[in-house]
Amino acid sequence: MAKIRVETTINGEATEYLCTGQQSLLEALRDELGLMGTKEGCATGDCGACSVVLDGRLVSSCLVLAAEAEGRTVKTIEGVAEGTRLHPLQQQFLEQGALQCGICTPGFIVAAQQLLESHPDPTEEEVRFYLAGNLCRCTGYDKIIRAVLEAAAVLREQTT
Amino acid sequence: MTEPSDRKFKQIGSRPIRHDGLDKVTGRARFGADFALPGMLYGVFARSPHAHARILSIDTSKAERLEGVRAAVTAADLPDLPDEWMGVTEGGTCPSEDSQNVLAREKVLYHGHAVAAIAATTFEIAREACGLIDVEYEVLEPVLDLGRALAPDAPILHENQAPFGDEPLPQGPTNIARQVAFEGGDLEAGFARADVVVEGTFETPMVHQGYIEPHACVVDVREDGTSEIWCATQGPFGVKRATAMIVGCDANGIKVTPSEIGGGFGGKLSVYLEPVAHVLSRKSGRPVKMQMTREEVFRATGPTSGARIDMRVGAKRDGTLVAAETRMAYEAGAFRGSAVGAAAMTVLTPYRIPNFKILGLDVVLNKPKAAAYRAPGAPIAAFATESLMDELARRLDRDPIDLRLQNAIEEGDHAKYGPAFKRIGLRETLEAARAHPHYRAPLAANQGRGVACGFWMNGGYQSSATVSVDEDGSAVVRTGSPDIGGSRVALALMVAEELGISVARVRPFVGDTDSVGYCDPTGGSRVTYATGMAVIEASRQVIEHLRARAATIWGVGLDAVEWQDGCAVATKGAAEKGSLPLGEIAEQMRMTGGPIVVSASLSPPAAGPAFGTHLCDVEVDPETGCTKVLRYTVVQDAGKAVHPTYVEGQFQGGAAQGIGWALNEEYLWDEKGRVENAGFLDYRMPVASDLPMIDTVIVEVPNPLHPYGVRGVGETPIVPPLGTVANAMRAATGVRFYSLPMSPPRVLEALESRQG
Amino acid sequence: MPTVIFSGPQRRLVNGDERVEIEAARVDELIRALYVRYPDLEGKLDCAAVSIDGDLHNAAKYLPLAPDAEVHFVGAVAGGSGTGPAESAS
Repeated sequence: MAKIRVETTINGEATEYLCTGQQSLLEALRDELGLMGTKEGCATGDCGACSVVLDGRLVSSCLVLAAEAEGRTVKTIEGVAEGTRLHPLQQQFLEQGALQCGICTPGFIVAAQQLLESHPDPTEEEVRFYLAGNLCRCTGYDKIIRAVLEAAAVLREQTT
Repeated sequence: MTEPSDRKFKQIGSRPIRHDGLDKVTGRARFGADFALPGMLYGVFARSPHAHARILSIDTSKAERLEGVRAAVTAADLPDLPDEWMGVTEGGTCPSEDSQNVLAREKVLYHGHAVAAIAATTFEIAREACGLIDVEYEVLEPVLDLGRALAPDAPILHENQAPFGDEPLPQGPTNIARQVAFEGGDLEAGFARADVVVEGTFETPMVHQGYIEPHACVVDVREDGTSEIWCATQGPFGVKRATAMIVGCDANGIKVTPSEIGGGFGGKLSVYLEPVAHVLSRKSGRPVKMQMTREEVFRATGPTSGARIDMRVGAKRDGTLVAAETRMAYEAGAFRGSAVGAAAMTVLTPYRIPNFKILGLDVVLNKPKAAAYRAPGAPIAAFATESLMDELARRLDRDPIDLRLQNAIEEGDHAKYGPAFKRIGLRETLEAARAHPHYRAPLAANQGRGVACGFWMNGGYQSSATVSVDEDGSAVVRTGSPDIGGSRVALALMVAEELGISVARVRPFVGDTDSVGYCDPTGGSRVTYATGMAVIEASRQVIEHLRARAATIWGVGLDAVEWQDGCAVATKGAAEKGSLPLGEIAEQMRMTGGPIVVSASLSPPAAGPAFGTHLCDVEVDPETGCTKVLRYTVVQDAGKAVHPTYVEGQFQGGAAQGIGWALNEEYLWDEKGRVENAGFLDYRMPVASDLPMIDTVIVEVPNPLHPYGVRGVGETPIVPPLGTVANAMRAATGVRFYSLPMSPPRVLEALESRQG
Repeated sequence: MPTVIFSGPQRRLVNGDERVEIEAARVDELIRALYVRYPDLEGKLDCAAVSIDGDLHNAAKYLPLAPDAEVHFVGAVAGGSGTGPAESAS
C-alpha cells in the first residue's frame, strides 16, 4: 500500500513521516516517530490520554488522521518542558502528587497547558469542566485540580 | 520487629517528590504498550460473538493464507491441564479454567471470550485475518442473571463440575461453584431478643476496574524455547508462572520485565495476553506484541462481580446489635472464583454481633470471568450492611455515628471469620468523622448527608528486597513489586529513614524476574507493608555492615560503633575517633571488604486490618434525577502514613471509584448477553466535573505487626462509598436505594414512586 | 496446650465441638492431630489460612505454636484472581 508523506511541525521542529490513510495521528506519533509520551487509553476520543495540541487546538490524537497533520503544527507532552526547564504544570504535578500510575498524566498536562494559555486565572469549576475529557482512575482528580490551580498561580506570578 | 510507637521519624511522614515522577510528567515513562522489538509481529484475538455456545469447529486455514499472517493459535495448541481447584490458601485457581479463559475450548462462555489469535506483520492484517477464521457454534441459552443461574431448570455452564466449600452443598447440577459460610451464636435466639429488625435485598451490577491503560505485552521466544516477556502487570512472577503453566513450558526459561503500569486495581493480576503471544512467537520465530483495545478490556477482562445480598439485622431498643443474617450471591462470571469469600469475611465485621450467619455463594454465569478489584467483594457487602445500619439508626432515632460507635469492634473482639483482632482503629475513625466540621455543616433542600464504614483485611504474602550502597554513598533498593501508585518513593523513604541519608540519595528500582528476589504481586495493599518490611530489614543489615566497616577503619571493636543519623559514631572509650558519615565509609568499601549489598525476604502474616469511615453530602435534582456530590470526606486508619500525599491519593482515588460505582457505573447487556457499553463514552466513570475536592483525615493507630506501624491503605477506601452515597441519597430524597447504580433514570423513577 | 476454635460450618465436621485443646508444637502437627481426632475433617484444613493469636498466616505449616496459642482455621481467604496469589490490589 502506498504511504502518504506528511510534512508537519512537531514541538517546534520540522518533521516528516510516512503514514497510511487509515493511521491516526496517535499511531504516527507513537509508531512512526517514537513519541511514546502520548498514550492510548481508548482510541475512541473518550479518555483524553492521547491529547495533543493541533494548530493551537486541543484534540484527541486518536481521532485525527495522521495525514491531516500536513502543514500544521503539533505539540505533544514531549514539547511541554522548555529545554531542561519543567513547565510549572509539570513541576506542580510532581509537588502536589497529582499522579499515581501516571498513564493519564501526559494528556492532563497537555490539556491543562492549553487551558491556562487561554484562561490564566481559572476557577476550580472551570478547571474541572475543561479537564472533563481527561479520565483519571487513580487520583479522584483532587490533586490534579490543585496542581493546575497552583501552576496557574505560578504562571501569573511569572508574567507580572 | 515491633518498636515503640513513640519513635520519632525523620523522613517517614514527609512528602518528597517521587523518583519516577519526572519521567511521568515528561512522557518518558515506558508503559505496557510502549515497548517494541525489531521484526515484531502484531497479535490480535478472534472473539466469540455469543455469550454461550458450544464450539463445533475452528478453521484458521483461510486466515493463515492471508499475505502477512505468520501464525495462528487456538486452544488446540495449549496442553490439557488439571480440571481441579488448586486450593492454595490465597483463593485458589483451576489450571484448566485459567487456560480456557485465555482461549476457549469446548464452549465459549461470554461475549468476547477469545477463541483464536493471529500474528501478522501489522495489526491491520492480523485483524483482517481474524475475520477469516471460521468458527462453527451451537448457540446455547445464555445465563445472564443470578435469578436465572440459580433456577432449577437453568442451563448449566460447567456440566461436570460439583460445588465445593462449606457444607451442606447443593446436590445435582448447579451453577453454584462454591459456598462459604461463617456462623456464630444462636441466630434464632438472637432475633427473638431483637426489638427492631431491618432487612433488605441489595443488588449491584458488574463493574469494571477501569484502569486507563489497556493490557499490553511483547513476548519473544528464542530458538531454544527460552523467552522474554515485557508487560504491564501487578505481578511479574505470577505472569511467569501462569504463562509457563498455560503454554506448558519450563518457567525457568521465562524472564518477565514489568513495565510502568497504567493502573491495575486488581485487574492486572490476571493473565490474558502473555500465554497467547508466547505461542504465536514460538510458532512464528518472531517477537509478538499484543495490545487490547478498550472494547476488549471491557468485554474480556476484569470485571468485579455483580451481586445480590439478602440481609437482616436485629437490634435492641438501646441500639445494641443482637443478630444478623445474610445470604450473598456473587457473580463469578464464566469461571468460578468470585470474591464472595472475602465478602463473607468483611460483610458484618465492623460490628459486634453475637449471633450471626453468613452464607456466600459463588455463582457462574455467561459474563466475563471476574477478576480482583480493589478490596474484592467488600464494597458490595458493605453497601448492604451500612444501608441497614443507617436504616436502624433512623428506626431508633439515633445518630448514625453514635450507633456505629456503640457496636464498633475493638481490640480483642473476634472477627466473624474467627480470629481476635489486635489493635485496630475503627473507633478512632468514627470519632474523627464525628469531630470533623463536615459532619456538622448545614444542608439545604434536596441535600442529604450519609455516613458509612468499611473494612479490609490487607494481605501479607512473600516479598524480597535488596539494598546496596554505592561508593558515592548513595543507595539502591531493588524489589519485584510493581509500583502502581507511589510505592517506590515509600520504599525509598524507608531506606532513607534507616540509613539516615536523603531520600533523593536512594534510588528505588522495580526489577525483572531474573534480577530481583521473588515477590508476590502488588495487591492486597501489601507492598508498603510486606515489601516495606523486607526493605527495612535489609537496610538494618546494611547498617550492621557499615558499623563493621567503620570499626575496621578505626581499628576498634564493633561494640564501640553506633549508628546515628547517617553516621558511624564511636563510643565506649573510642569516642575520640568521632564519627564517620556513610559517604566516607562508602568511599573506603574497597579497602574494608568490598561492596555492601544486602537482601532480605519474608512471608509475614496478613497486614493488619484497616478501617475507614466516610462522609458524603449529595444534592439530588428532583427534575432530572441527577445527583451531585457536594462534599466528601475520607477518614481512615493508615497505621502510619509513610508518604502522606500518596496515602491521601489512595483515599481520594478509592472514594472516586466507589462514587462511580454508586452513581453511574454498570455493564449493560442485551438479551443475548452482549455487552452494550464496552467503551468509556457509555460506561460512565467519574470525570473531573463530577466530583468535589475529596477531604482526607489520616488516622494513625499503629499496626503492631510492622516496625513503623504501617497498615495497607490502598483497598479500604473503596469499601465505604457505596453505602455512604446511598445513605446520603436516602437523607436527600427519603428513598432507600437497594440497587446500584443510582443513576438519573433510576433516581427519577424512585422519586416518582415516592410521590405516587 | 494450643486451643483450636472451630467456625460454625467446621463444627459439623467435629461433632459439634466449639473448641478443642490439642498438644502440638507446630501447625502441621496440630493439623495431623486434628485429623486423627476428627476423621471427617481429613483434608479440609490443608489449604486453610491459619490464625495464630489473631495474626492471619497464609503459609503457616511450619510455624511454632505457643502452649497457650489460640488457633483458627479460615478457609475463605478468597480473591478474585485466578492466577496471582494476592487477593486484591490497590
